[in-house]
Amino acid sequence: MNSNSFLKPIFFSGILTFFSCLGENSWEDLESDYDHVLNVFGLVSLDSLQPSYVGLYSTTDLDEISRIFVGVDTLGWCDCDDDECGWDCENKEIDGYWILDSLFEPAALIKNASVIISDDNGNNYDFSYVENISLVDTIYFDTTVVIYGTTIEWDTTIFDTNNLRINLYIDSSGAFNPEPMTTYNLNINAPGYDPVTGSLTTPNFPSIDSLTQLGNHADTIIINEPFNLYWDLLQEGKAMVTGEVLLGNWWDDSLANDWCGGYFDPFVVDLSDNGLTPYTVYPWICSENLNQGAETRDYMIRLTAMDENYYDYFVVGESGEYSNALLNYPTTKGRSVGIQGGFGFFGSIASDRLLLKIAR
Amino acid sequence: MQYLFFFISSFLFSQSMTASINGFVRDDASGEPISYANVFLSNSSIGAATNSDGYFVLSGIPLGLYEVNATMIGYSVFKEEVDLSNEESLRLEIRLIEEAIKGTEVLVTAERQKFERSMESSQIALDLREINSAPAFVEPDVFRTLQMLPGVQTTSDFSSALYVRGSTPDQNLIMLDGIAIYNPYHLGGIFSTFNTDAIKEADFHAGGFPARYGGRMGAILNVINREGNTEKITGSANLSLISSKALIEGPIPKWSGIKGSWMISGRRTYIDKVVNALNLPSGSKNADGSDIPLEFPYYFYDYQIKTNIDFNQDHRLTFTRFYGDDVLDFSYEDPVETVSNETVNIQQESQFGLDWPWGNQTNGLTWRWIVSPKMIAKTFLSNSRYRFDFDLSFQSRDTYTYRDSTVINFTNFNWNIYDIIKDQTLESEVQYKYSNDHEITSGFQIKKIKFDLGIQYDLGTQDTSFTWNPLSLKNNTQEISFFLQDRWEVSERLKIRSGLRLTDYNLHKKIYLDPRIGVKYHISDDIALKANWGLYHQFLTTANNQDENLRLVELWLGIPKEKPASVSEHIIGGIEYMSPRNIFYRIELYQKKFENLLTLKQDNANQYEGASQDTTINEFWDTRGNSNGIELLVKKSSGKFNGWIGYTFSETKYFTEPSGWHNPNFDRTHTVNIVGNYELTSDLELSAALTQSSGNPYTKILGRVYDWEQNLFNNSYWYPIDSYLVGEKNTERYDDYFRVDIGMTRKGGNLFGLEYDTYWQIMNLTRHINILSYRYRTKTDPITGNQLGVQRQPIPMFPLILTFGVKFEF
Repeated sequence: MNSNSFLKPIFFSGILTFFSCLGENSWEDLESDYDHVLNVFGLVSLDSLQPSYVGLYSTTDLDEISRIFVGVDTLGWCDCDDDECGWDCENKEIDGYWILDSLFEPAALIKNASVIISDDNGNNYDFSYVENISLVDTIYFDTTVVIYGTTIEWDTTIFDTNNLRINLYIDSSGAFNPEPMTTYNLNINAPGYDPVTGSLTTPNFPSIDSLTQLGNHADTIIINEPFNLYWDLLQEGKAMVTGEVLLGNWWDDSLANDWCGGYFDPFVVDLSDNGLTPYTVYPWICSENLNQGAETRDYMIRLTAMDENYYDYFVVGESGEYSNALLNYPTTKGRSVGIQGGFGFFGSIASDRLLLKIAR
Repeated sequence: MQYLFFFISSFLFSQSMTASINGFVRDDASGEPISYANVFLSNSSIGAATNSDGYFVLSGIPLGLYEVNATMIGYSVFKEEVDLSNEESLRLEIRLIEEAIKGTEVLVTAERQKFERSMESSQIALDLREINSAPAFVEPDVFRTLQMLPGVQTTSDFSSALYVRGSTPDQNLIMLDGIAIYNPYHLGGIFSTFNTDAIKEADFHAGGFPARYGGRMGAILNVINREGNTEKITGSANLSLISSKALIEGPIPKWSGIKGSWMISGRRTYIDKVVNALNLPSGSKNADGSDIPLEFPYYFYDYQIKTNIDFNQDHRLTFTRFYGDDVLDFSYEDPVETVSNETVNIQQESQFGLDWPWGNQTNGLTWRWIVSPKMIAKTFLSNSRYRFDFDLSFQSRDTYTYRDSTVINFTNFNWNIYDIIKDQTLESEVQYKYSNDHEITSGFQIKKIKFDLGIQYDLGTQDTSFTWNPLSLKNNTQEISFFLQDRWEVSERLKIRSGLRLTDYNLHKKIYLDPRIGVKYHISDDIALKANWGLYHQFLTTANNQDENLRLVELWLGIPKEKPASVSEHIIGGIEYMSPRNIFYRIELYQKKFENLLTLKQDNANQYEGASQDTTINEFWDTRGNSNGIELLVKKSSGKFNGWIGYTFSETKYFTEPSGWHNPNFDRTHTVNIVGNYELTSDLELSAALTQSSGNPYTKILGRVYDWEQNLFNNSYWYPIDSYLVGEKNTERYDDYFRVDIGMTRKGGNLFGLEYDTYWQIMNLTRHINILSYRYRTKTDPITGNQLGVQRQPIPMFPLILTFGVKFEF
């Protein structure tokens, strides 16, 4: 045996393995063949800050378009003095440019359906399709200046109108004011699809009684210390407890990271369970130095009661039927909670909030 | 131990006017015991086959003069005159001398001995030649050869795990010299941990196994290592593309009547050493600008030791040790960065490390006592440890040096997933040939297993530190088993083996009964009917995702207190025919029912009920199932051309609450395996293997649908999750599987006086694309950004691969 005896197999194995990798592993288009159904998100909200609405879509085929371009929206001006805009600025030698955001609409959106929510008393509330809502931002500037020793009080108010695409069915009449412990029914008829019906009983209003921290009744809160939460016992019902530091604009607020200690994992409590009250809440632990020099903020504890449908859909959830890391998307066999004739859910929530100042 | 005294006393008080001959049959050159050798008396119907220890007993011999014969394929015939006029019991040490096989002149083969002696359905014993005959990935592998047998299935080319008649790999009892091994794989299942150079024989039971085996519902594989050469020191070395193997064996110097042998074998992959030695640049730089060399972070190794000490002709002590580890050890250190201005100097350091060893370790001590020619007692004391220890760590340290102070911010993060099993077993069995018609085997087993499965996060910063154990499952289980089985030769044609195994499982405080029975009826000398029935309980399970295509490790758990033990019922019937040319034919039908299986729940999207439910490893669906099939085997073990053809029709269905009845992902309806080995010349052997089977099941994607997630922070909102709508579980199948492998071995090379063989293998000769899985993507219009349809691309298993190696012997 000589070196040639070893080199030949290495050479041939390399050549053969290389050619063997040139297999026909092309991408193939997939097609579907199944009966489509309506895909519903129906929320009856007893929360004054959260309107009720219905989102209506259909299931789609694998060979169908799923997202349609409908226009652009202006996100903002990127200044070339800002490092993040550097690449385009260097190439085009410009001062800056507007950033546009492409707007898309789900291809499965159903816009021409009849959506009715009715109550036990025979009242029917038509929910109609709304593509956009207009929001008016009022921005107030205190531009008081001192000129030659004279103070000039000068305020400026700017009204900015934004169109926000919602693509939802809402009660445009304003007559729909859901009550606690009341049964509501959903009826949806869309051309070309089987009708969808649904039913729910709204939850009772939850009520936060008090909060204690370090053994004392708390008017302010130390956000990195555990606290006990008390609520008024109800005969039945589940509720989710969440908490957050109220920041003006969370995403843009440069101080957001300073407050990470204000959060904790949401958890569910039984509103009728004496054994769980008070419930001790342990906040997240942050590795950063917290709120050093940060302006003090409000802290909000929220207790959100859920009806059975909401609880089944969002809390119990779906046990994964099929998992494959190569799919890129989650999978479902299609869930129907609180509705019949389609996929999705019809559920209800009601909330109570507790606002506390963060202790310095 | 009462039963032991019963047997001994019944033996001592038994009266006999007959004589017996017992002893061992060994290879004259190496001293290795020879299994299935035929020992008989001329001009008499008295004869027996040797067992796996090479031991035989001829009993009930009328007093007189006889000629003892011992035959085995490949060996010259042994003949010796014996005088049994005065002897009640004669011990013979028979040495057979190897000789060239004379083709069709050989009438008696090991296959025929197995055919005549074996009571069990679905049993196959593969010797080293058969294990090596099937082309394998890179190097011969006992599991790869077993995958070519009827009834054995696999999920992919990348796995050597055995799916036997509807049973998953965790339902198989894999033993090395009788000691259980929990994760017998290297490299995520591509290789088995067993080094074939050290193997003497692999005894495989696809089902219907007797009462002496317990604790598993599926199959039994007992890999028996060589004992070691009792005559001289010999060895071999094997170099393949990925690993080197070596084996050395020899006698223990005789002293005061004590003799013995030893065998040591080892294997290690060397890709890491080769890559590291090449000093290739990794693309990263050191602080001084020099290249950081590329390091290959993975290797595996194993070694086996076996020592036999014969204190006298009746007492033997055997020590075996196996140790095997896969190691993935990787660390990366960022170059230290320093930033400074007038007021502060900031020094930033960080490093990342992954230390991930997993593997098995076993130690066993066996005491074999030939109490009398008719009674052999064996006592085992063993421990087996499986360890899986994934340890990911990250450290960062920022040092702020001001004019008059220093502030250090640091983060130490550690993520540890571990599964440790410690098995300690004491086992004793007595084999007693009560009469010419009855052979009784009885014994007990005490098995203590500690399971420790967990996940732990550790975080330490300059402000705080905490440890979080989202999963910590520990249980200490104990199985105490007793078994009794009887082999009864009702007549020359009818043989019955019945047995009962009782097991006390400490978490359940209940005795589980496993009755088993097997019947063999010889229609003629060449044709036999066989039937087996039995119950099989299992007290451990694995927590692995049921849909995974690649199973890196198995996470073992004892059956929890609140769950009943899993149980399977085997019903097997078959017919066997040994042709005059010693070609073995077998047709078997089987039905297996499973109850109380545990199937790990797949990932839950929503977890709010408490931190301990962040993982679902401890949540199972109660599962039941059944498997039915027909298997055909035609096997030729002797001659220049040997091999086998296997066909399997199988249907396995499991039932879980959310999925209903469905085929598990390993179920293949039709499978044909052909393995052939042809000795072209005295120094050139060709081998080939072909597999054609139905594709494995998978779940079809039908379309797309929205699911919703909630966000109750910062003004509640709910957002849709684009999801695939899937059909019924596993109702689609991948395209049929097809693979042809060929191999060639050239013997008789000589390098500096060392003999060597070279071997070449080509896997997937036809370059057939066998699909492991699909990956999916959504097409996007590059101009509008519109999302178009969905596409998929097959992920293939093995491409065409050429491997080669060389084996030296000295």
